[in-house]
Amino acid sequence: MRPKLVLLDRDGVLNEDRDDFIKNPGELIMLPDSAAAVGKLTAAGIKTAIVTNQSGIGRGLFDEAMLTRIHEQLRNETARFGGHYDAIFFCPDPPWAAGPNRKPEPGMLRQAMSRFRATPGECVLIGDSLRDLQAAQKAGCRRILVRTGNGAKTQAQGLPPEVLPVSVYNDLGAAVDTLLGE
Amino acid sequence: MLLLRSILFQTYWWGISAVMTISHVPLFLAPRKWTVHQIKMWGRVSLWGLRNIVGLDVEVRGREHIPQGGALIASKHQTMWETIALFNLNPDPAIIFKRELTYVPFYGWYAMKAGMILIDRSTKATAMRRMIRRGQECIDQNRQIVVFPEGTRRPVGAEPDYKSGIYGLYGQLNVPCVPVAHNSGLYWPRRGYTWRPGKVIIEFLPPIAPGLKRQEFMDTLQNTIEAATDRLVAEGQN
Ligand SMILES: [Mg+2]
Repeated sequence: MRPKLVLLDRDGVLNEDRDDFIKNPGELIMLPDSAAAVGKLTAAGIKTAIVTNQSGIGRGLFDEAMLTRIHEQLRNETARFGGHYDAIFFCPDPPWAAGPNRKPEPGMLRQAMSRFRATPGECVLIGDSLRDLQAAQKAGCRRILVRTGNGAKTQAQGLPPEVLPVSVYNDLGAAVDTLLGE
Repeated sequence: MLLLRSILFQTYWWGISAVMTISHVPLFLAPRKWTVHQIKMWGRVSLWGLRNIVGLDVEVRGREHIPQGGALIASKHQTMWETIALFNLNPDPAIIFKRELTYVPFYGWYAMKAGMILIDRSTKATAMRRMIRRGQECIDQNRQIVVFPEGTRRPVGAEPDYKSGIYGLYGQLNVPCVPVAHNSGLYWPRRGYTWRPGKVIIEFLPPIAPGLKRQEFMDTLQNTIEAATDRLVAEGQN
């Protein structure tokens, strides 16, 4: 069953994560093959939506206009491989004032699903952190952990039973190849 | 002390097994369900012995993940313990065994009488078709199918070795698959006769919905069972 909509975490899945946040387009470094993997999804006619926590905004480190520029850069890097994001959802909340959209809460995922009229069964989330998997579990959609970014650490720390079943791949490329395989 | 308890348990277990095996022979003439009940009783008596002689208890987690109706129950296989436990934790399971089991007097015959699924591992394609047909019959009767996707018992910590045979059932029967993890290998002897006291934890995990393709299904199944097994083994070793 090919998914209709793939929900992508951003940092650690598409681009390299940074402990001090990605605060401008210059700090955005794509992970190897991630743009090509998004290109394969686009070519296969599968919708993609980014669902990303951006607490850097809530912390006052950068503003929404800057985030728009960062995403402009992300779209350009991805478009070079024919990849397209059909929507980008972000949550600016800092952890100390987290609302229903900040992962591990499923708000953004639900918005994305309703935007594309996809049922949870038609969606897959790909993320690198436990809270991505938790948000997907709450939204009721399938979940894939990639070992890039925070992923290897997330796997090593042990996945709690409530987020299982989960499949794990080395990177977005391997995950997408499996989703599109056979 | 450990050895003494194990010898006592073994004596008890072989004793009750011999008595029940012989005294239930007339069940071969009775309906299948009677044999299912008899095997469950034997399982309860076995687990009772483990608890009261060896001091080996059981904790079951995640029962709420077992769906109603047809499903695959896919378990890690470390020892004989889970065969007994899964038979008793499921109302009327169909466990998949190697056909060689039928060569074991009584044990194999009761398994056949109780409607287990016996597979021939030598002739692949025909065996697969037969397994799927038998599986469909079980699902139609609302029985759940218990399968050990690694095919055979593996020691704790051994490199996982999942066979894609289970995908044949999952793909063709179009049912959810409940992954099961446990840590029986820490307590039940792999070789030799020393049972260890403690508590086996067996955990039913959230089901994998039907409809995944082969590779994604196999990856999800293996990763899910192994992640949970590692956690339970670590918990048992604490
Ligand atoms: Mg991330």
